[in-house]
Amino acid sequence: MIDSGHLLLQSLVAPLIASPIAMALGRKLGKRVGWIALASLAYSLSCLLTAGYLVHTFSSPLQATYPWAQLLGDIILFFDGLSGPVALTIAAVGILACIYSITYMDLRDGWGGYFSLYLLFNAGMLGAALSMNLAIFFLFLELMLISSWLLIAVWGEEDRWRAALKYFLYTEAGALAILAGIGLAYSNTGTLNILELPSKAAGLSQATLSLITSLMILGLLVKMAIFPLHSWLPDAYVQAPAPVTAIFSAGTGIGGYAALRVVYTAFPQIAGHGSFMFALLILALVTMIYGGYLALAQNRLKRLLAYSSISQMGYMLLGIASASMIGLAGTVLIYVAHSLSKAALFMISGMLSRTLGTDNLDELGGLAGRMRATSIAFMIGFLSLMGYPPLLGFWGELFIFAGSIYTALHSSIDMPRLALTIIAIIFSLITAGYGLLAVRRSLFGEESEAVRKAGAEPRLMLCPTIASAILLVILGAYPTMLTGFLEALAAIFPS
Amino acid sequence: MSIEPWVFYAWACWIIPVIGALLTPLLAKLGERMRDFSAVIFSLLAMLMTLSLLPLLFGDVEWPLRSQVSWVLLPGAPILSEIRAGMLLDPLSIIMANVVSVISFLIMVYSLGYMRGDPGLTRYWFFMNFFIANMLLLVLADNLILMLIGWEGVGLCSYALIGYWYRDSKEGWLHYWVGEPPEAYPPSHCGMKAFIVTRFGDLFMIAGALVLAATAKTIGFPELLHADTIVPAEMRWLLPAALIMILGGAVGKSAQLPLMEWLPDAMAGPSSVSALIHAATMVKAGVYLVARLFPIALSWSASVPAATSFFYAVMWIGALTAFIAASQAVVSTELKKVLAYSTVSQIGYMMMALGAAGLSAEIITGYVASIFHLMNHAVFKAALFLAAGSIIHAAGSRFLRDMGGLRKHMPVTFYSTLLATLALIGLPPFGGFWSKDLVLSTTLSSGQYAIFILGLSTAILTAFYSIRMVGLAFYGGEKSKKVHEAPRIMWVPYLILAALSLIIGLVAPLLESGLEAALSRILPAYMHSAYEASSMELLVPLTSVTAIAVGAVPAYALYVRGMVDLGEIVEKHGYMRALRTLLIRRYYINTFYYRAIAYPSIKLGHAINKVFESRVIEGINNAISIGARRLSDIVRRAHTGLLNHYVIGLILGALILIILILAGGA
Repeated sequence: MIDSGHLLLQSLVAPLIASPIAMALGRKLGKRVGWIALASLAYSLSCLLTAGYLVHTFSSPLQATYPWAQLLGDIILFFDGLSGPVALTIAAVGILACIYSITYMDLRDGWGGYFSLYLLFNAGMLGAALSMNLAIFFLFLELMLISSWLLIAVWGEEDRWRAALKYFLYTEAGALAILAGIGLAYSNTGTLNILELPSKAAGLSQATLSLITSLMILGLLVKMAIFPLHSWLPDAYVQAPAPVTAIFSAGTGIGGYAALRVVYTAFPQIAGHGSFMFALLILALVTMIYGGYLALAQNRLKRLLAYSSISQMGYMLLGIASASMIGLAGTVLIYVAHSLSKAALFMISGMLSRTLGTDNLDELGGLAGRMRATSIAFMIGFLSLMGYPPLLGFWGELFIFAGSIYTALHSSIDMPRLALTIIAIIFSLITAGYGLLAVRRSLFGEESEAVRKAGAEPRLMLCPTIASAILLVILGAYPTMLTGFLEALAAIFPS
Repeated sequence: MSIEPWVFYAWACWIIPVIGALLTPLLAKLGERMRDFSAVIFSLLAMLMTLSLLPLLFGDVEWPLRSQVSWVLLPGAPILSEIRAGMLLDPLSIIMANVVSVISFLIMVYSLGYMRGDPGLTRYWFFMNFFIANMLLLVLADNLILMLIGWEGVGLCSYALIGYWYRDSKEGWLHYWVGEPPEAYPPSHCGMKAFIVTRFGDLFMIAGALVLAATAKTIGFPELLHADTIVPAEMRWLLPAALIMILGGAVGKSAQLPLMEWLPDAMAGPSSVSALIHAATMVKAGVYLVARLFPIALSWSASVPAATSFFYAVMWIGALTAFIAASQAVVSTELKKVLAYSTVSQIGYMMMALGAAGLSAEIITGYVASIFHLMNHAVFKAALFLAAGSIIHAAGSRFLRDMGGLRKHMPVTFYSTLLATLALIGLPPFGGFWSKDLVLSTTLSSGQYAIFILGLSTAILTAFYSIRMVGLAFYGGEKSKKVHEAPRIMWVPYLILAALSLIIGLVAPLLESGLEAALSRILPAYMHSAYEASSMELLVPLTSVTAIAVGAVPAYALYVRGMVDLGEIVEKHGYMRALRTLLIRRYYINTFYYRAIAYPSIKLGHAINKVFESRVIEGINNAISIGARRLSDIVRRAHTGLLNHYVIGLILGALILIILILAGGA
């Protein structure tokens, strides 16, 4: 269906226009400039919700094409059951963290610059999710990278410069690999349109195809922070200001979303390539376990959450490696669930740093009696991460595992895949381990010195946190709101 | 089209307590009494709903009854494209739901007195009602995924209620902690332990359910019954393998070997919680699951002989657990922990009966034995735990050594405990006697003599530790003054339950045949075999009564009469001391889990962090950055500052680019 109301374009342009405005008015309005940013994000969310409604009513994806450079093809914005949930999540989390930022930033200055870059970061994520032109996709990816790099470098914690540089260099190297893949794809097929690529790339030799996809996937694995390309993530997450970390998970997940598009929409032939998918499966398993064990060893909540993000990216990759529609559905659900729960948890960690002066688990304890609402949101965030029903994370993990097991069993018994999947299921216990340990160390026990002296949570920081937890519960209670739109995935897999 | 009443009752009996739970925080705003009483009323309503299902058992109904709504849609998916929420009514689920709701209600009433004045009551009522809802959902669910939702829901409530006194106060350790040093744990630790251990089992259950979904293409219990026919022959072995994996969930939840270690420590929760969740209902979920899968495994065993391995696994796990847990109860120093070990042991009995039933010709006898024992146990163990709550409150300590001589001061509690204990021992004519008799005769009729011996030894141990517990708590010298009987709102529920355990026994033959008639309807027709009075009919009750005497008489002499001080004898003999230490230290299984799994996992995390993450990965990062700097030193020499050099470079670069593009386009 043609997007005649330019809904998708509007959702992208709103933050892009608001960004320079925020910059210009920053001096004059002070931190109130955050409300302008919020308004533009709310506008973009409402556009996306309308788009979602249209897609639901007419049960066909929404597409808008705008002419651009002759050589590189048109700008194509595409909203279907796959990019839809991703874009909506970005907008929702973006709004919540924006509200949070308004209070968070009142102890710092440079509001204009902060909100301006914050909007660019959001626009970059949205654009990357919606673009079906690889060149445009790449540009948005760079926009994301540069804006988030500056956000870390300027408004981050003590060690921000080193972390920002590391983040920049790592992901830029990944971006170059992606660019090389895109360039090769273009020179070999003459198109950058992801939706056209499957037919145009049909005649390519196996070697070329492997090279193109390997380069792109390699770059995206860096973006996703898959082991052993993950080491930018903990530093960047920890050093970034709390609201930026809160939306960072959505940004990191974009790598997974794009990898899904590359493998299944652009080059579906590669999905049938057993050893390639198996390699992804191994990487996924190692990342899940590695991130989990490291999360178990952290003392600082924010760093624990960062390693947990690495582990969760492993789950996303496991879904991508499942080569089945169910697994991909799980990947999308995990993307949404992880973005929401990490938004809540990182916002809580920032809130603790602010009200208690620390988010070090050794210095917490007994929060449950003092900060009830925060404690409940904290529990819900972690329970969703560990895949506990009826929260959204449960469905994500269930479908990911189901997809992988289905692929292992659907024609004949693929013993290695079956065994590895069962190992992955069993090792997801690590998530429960570090989650409950963090819960116990912060919420239970006697009140610590820091907790006893704490003031109340600022309301504008608490509300978005609770909102993300509520979304996890609602979406988990009725996940058809998301999965019902994923029919498009079925077309990829002829049964 | 009108909705039949049973549809309404089935959905309402778990939706009502959900609403009750969600309303708790709001009702708390209207006042504490409002909150407390409405919480109890919601559980009463839930009970009325399940009771309304009972008449179905006597009608002429085509089982199973099902009511489904569409829930999770994944259009186009090869499996799990539609997960439905469905209620499954058959005699098994109706009986189980009633056991759950009736006992829940009585315990909720007891809680009014027991938890009175506790500052966290809103949380308490929320999780209690949420637990009832999830437990009923688990029981009534018609497919594995929906059951899993209830299953994990009760796990969450168990976690939250074990760790209810989350402050872990060190001063109150006599009351709130569990265990003796070096194995003494605070409540929040125990909650976490319960969660992790049961979750470990649940993950196997998820894996098994997904294997079934992928091979049998269904997760609904009725559909699974004949799923073996649609699975290609070379993949059929996956079916029993999946069942065994699902059994992992049951083993975790029902605290069977090797995942039993969480339950004794779960006693850190309030006694009402121990009674409801960790004795009467949630820990029976594993037995219920096995009973649910029982007809399926039996039906598969026709085309997949390996399916009988499921029964062997269930039987052996149950029998070994029954014996090992009972032996630990013999030396336990805490009142509630005796009961906890006893619970584990009795659940082992139920598992044992189910496993043996699957291997026996008299399938239905074993099946009835297990469910009947489950009912009996739910009643008398709930009574024992509720009474234990009163006793611990009165004595001010959870240790048996701080009790003694309470008989005169707490007569109602004493007689209730006594009745329930006699039922636990299995003395005729209490309910426990009949069901235990059935369990033991099933093991004999299935020809599993080793299992019979284990069962009989367990009976001896059960009689011993039960009498010991009563003796230590109620007889002997008084340890504390000023002990009062519990308030009426507390003793009425456990008096009712204790009386019930006797009444059940008096009508047992009737109940047994009723259960047999009801439950035989859910086992497929070809599984029925004529119940023949075996020649061993009298042998079993005689041996079991003898076993009681063998266990009870010494315990009576030692602990009620105090004729000999066993402690001194044990001290004299090295091997007895070693045995006692082995039992007190829980066969070192608990130690093994801490030393070999829990602590090493955290240590491994630290080690990876210190060595691999900080040295290897960061080392590579640094090497690259140093290398890049070296490279830049070299490249810097090209920065001559002469414009001509730059222009040449530019042209060369452009040339390379053009060549690349041309080469690609060709």
